[in-house]
Amino acid sequence: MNLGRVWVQCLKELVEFRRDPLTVALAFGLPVAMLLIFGFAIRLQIKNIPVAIQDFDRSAFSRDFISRVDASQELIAIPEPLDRSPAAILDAGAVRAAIVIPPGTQRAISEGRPAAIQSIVDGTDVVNALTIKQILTATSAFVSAGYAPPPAAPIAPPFDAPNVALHERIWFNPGGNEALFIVPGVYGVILAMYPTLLAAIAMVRDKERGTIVQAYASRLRASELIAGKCLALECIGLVEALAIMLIGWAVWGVHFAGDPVPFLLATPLLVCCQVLLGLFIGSRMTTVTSAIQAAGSVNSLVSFLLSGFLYPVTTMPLVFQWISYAVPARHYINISRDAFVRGSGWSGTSSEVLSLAAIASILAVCAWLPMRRMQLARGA
Amino acid sequence: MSGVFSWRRWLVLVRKEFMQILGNRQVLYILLFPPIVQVTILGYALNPLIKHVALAIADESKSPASRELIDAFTANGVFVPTRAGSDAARVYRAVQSGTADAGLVIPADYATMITRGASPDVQLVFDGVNSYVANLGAGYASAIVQVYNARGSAAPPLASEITFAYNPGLVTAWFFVPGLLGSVLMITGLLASASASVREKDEGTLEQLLMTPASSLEVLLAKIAPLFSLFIIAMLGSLALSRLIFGLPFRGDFPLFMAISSLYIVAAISIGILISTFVTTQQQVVLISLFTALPLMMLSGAFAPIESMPPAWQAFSLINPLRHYISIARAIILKGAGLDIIWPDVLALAAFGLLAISISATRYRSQLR
Repeated sequence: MNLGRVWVQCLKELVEFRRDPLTVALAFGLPVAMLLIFGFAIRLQIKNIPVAIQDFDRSAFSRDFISRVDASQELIAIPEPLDRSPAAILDAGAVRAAIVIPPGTQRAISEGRPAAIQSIVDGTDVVNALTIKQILTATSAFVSAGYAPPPAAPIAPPFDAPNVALHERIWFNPGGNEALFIVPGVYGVILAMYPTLLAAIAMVRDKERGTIVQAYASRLRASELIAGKCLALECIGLVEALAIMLIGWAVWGVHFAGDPVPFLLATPLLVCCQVLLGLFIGSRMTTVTSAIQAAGSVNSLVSFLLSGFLYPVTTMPLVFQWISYAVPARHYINISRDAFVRGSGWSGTSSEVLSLAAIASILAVCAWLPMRRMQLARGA
Repeated sequence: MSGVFSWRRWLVLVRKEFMQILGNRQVLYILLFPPIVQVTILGYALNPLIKHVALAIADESKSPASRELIDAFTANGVFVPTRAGSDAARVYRAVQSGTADAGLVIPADYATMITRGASPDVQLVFDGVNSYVANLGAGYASAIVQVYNARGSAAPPLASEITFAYNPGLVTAWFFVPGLLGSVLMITGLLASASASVREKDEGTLEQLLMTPASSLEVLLAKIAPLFSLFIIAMLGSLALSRLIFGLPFRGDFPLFMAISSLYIVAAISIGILISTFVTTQQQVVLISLFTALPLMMLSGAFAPIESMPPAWQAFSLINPLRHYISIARAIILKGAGLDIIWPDVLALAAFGLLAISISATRYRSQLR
């Protein structure tokens, strides 16, 4: 490989990139705008789910119950007139659950007779449904205890009525600040998306315009062509990375929690993986439209949904957990969250950095293979 | 340019567009295959319910009572015990280094406290790096302990009888498929139509169209036709596969659903064409399309709940056609709802669709002049 030719190829790419001011503006403006939208708007924690409560009991107990449901962060209790059936309330779609407190509930509790609160929960959103169930079960157990008759005889030890006090603490992010979870993840999603797109277009554009023939006819070798393009796009990607991380720091105060070295190594590696993937897609596709579709929709959806950005990878079926090992964004997001939130440095992330390096080298071979003969494909 | 809409001319244009799309196998494959596969694969893979949370346990009591509490924690598969050591320091270290997602520490005097009827302090720490897992896990854990404490109490506890409507088995795919369907149609529809119309500009064939007697509306509608039929096929394909794989029911009115979906697809294509009128190169098309599509996806309730967003963003999501389409799709497919319930969403979607088509038609025409 001749480094001089690589350098010239890299400069050529950068000149071509600069020639289109709108693309330059988009390549930097869009990641920033995406960071701001995602960082401000995506919240996974369940909050403010409206639930309708029909109170047939009209007792101290039922008022207690309703105010306690309403006091939870997750639910908003909406008193409902008694003339509609719970199923009809749910069908109307304004609330996620219809809860009925039957008449005589408080009396039944205080006399020690069995009683029940009936609810229909909208099962469409499964997480919502389970959260509502948890809160209703816990609330009815807790509130009814205050109205139950005193036990006739002291309860026999040892295990009949344990009274465990659970102290839960959440480390590293004790305030439950969701931006601290979302923003380091968005870094990975953005850096997985835009460099790949720019690379795929850079590769296929030469083919579509026919200028690739000039490269084929020159003394340039495939490895030099790819290395040159890769270097140019790497620079663009790293500037994008710097831009979004400065904003993440300025807006949400996301800063390094520990040793930043693994992260500083992983960022160029991720950009390199994504650029090589883009070059590979570009070399396989013949038209810009198809390259865009492949690099744009498939790559972004995969980096977005199979990377652990939203839901943890461990909840996926086993096959997808294996597939996700090949998704660079998955490793990068782990490293990024460690660097900005946990701060354990090399001890927690060395394997992830190595995985990124391995994926990058495999992708380099993949990008080089279809180009290696520097010839037009048969029939093209 | 004649202002009268001619069906014959239009059909010729439609034929031209179809031939252009069908002529390129790669494009055809890329327009049909990913939407169908993405909806089914992601519907299968995505799981918002946490499980296998690695729980490091320090049982310093080592008694039948403490083992009973551990059993309560690990019984339903949400928490899986790891082999981290038996003292508190090692458990805390495991959580700190990220090798365990959570750590449970049962004190040495646990059994004696229980026997005395006192209330022993049990510590549970979560790795908050993934705050999603930590929050849901903390909720599960308190419910587990509440149930554990409540067993064997003297009075019959107040029961909570809960039925799950619409999705009694709580199948997560039923929740995701309508959202994914809407998202994939939006992202593919936008990209495909924008990039196809910019291509025409790029290659200079737009000028040739300008010289023909065809009106801009004919040209525009002819452009929409082949993409529209492809996306209808993709949609039916993904619904059929979802039914086959996940047993997704279809409880509502099918013609109503098709009519609304057609409206939605036309809206997505129109946004794409609108984008194409602002830009000149493919690079710009991709960047802007993705930039439009991804926030629309995230602010639609397909993945992240709308109720949890800050109020300003919730208000903003009202102008998102995807949000309305997803709530319509869920209502029709899963709940069997009719127009009497979904009309506000339909109205919003229709208004948006008409607006998108008329703006893009106007912009497209001014481009032709």
